[in-house]
Amino acid sequence: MTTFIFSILSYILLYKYVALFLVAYLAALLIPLPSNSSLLAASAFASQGYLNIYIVIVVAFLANEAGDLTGFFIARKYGKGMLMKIGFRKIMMSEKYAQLEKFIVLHSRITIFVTRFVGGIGPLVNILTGLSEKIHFKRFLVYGIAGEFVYVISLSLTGYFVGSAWEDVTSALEIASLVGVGILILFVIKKMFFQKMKF
Amino acid sequence: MMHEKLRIIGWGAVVLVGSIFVVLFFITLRQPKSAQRFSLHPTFSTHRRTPVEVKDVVYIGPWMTFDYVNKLFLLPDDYLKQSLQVTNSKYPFITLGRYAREVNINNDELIKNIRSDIEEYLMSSSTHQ
Repeated sequence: MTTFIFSILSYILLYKYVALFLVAYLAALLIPLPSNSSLLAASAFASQGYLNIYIVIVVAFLANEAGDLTGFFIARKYGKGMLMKIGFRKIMMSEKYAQLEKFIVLHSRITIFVTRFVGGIGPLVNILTGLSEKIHFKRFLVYGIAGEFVYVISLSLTGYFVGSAWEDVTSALEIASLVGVGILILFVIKKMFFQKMKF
Repeated sequence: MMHEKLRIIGWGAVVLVGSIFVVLFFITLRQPKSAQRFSLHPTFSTHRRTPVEVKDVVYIGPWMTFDYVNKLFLLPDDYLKQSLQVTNSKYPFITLGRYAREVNINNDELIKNIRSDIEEYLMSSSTHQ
């Protein structure tokens, strides 16, 4: 994994903002790339005067948002039809999926906003919200932009000021993300399976 | 009722995450040098406020480009090109590892040479000052 991250860092040093954009964009489309580490490292490079922190922030924000919107639109336009064709018909028609969709629709604002911070789950939520016709695009856009803005600003400023410790921050974020994903999964399971239980 | 609880939990999580980042931001802003004690790669802390030192050459790695190394150690653009007799047209926009592969040199050997050249440059420039 470390070798992989260093390969990505080489591309950031060589192609600067273009590489940063591609990594962030593709990571927002569920492709497993170290988006958090790349942003932290790019911000650390900016603190050394090698990149410009303002451009890093703008590029990372645009890439994340563009990736989110691409995922959302692909899911909205082709998602249901495609999933039905490739053997997910049973799941798509199941009651559990209906419950999950209901849950996401009911808590769409907070789900969209919070999942921008939780590594790996954001792209999944883009697809799920795209699949649900009940979630209006404007809502996805507003809460997505708000979430990405806070995420990019906080992560890039952390990388910029922490500088040397960006790898430690990456590890901490990975742990925090895993804990976040765990809590979210437990919460969804509880909500879906034990709805009648008192909260 | 349930919806209200969920909303409070959600916003609580947002405030918690936000607070952690804000605290981290202000701690590092107020005490930039204290962050270096966690340092795994001290070269990453060598922004303009804290100039690089000779000992930092140990952190040079094959993933770095010549351009990055030049800027990091404030070397003249052609210094490493001349000292290592680099003829590759991609210089300085090529990683050290890639360059080593292209000219059939061992990675470690190339980095060792670069380190010693930089040490020499930094020592001579500090002597002149």
